[in-house]
Amino acid sequence: MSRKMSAKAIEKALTRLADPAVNSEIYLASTTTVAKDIIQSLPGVKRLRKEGPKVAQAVLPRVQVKQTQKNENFLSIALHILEAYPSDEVKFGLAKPIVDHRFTGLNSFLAAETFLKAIGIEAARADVVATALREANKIVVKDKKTVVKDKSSQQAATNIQKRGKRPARSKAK
Amino acid sequence: MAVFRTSSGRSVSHCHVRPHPVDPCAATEWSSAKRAHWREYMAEHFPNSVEVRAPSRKYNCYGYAYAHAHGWFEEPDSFIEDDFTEVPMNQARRGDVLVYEKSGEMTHAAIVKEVNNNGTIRKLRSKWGQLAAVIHRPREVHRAYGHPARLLRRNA
Repeated sequence: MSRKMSAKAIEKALTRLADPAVNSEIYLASTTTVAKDIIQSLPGVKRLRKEGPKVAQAVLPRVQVKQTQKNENFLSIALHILEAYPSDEVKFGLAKPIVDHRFTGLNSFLAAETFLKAIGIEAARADVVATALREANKIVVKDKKTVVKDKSSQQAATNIQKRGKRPARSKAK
Repeated sequence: MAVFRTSSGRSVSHCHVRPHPVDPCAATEWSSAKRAHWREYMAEHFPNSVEVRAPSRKYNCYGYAYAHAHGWFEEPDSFIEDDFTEVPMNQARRGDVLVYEKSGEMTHAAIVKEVNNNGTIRKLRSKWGQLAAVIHRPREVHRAYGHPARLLRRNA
């Protein structure tokens, strides 16, 4: 059995995959099926998809930064790796970028597919992108409501604290 | 998604390069520098291919073979069902469409350019993903495209 990859080795493998000299081949894909086939053949991808959740922890932050979103081929690779690790982290990590339409080209399909797997929903191939957008919207809206609710609770707590600290108003004039 | 219709009037979803693209499509076309870069890439990795149309993100192999390079199409099934009829591989004619498959899935489409005396295909032209449209031999394609599986002829 091969040894587990260290965090450093995972970073090194991801850095290599971000190199255009390594990932340019993905531009030869006309469909997501072909793109995935090419991605699978790139160095280290198969292993990264099997290595374990710590790979997802290293990949997810990269997917969320704008710098990675400009490197569309690396983004394709990252999304394909994340597809192997369905989890709440992936679900919440992809919901907002999907709603914000930050994925274009083949990546919108790969992101949708990875997100749907993370939330445990299957969709027909033609409906994957639309279904993911609809479901991601639900999460983002719910999240906003929670944030607003949290903010309201915080504000209420602050007000109570402020009122507590404020010297009692004298009723006497 | 934009709409493109088959000869039977069925709409086929596809997309175009736009600053705010409808999923899934690219936001920008290649710059001149990038085009030059991709030409070098093709020359290095596929030296036998001959460019016939510049590298472009506006259309893919399906758009090129089935819809006159109209846009980027992910699903070609409607075109095949409505606009084409399958013909034997050894009865190829210029203009026919060769379908490539890998592991039972469609991967690529190419237009027949030259045919041998025995009716087999000598040369094709096809669009390679987001790179150029090139002339090539049937087996001289990227490995992810698989192998020639079916030959289609546009209905009269």
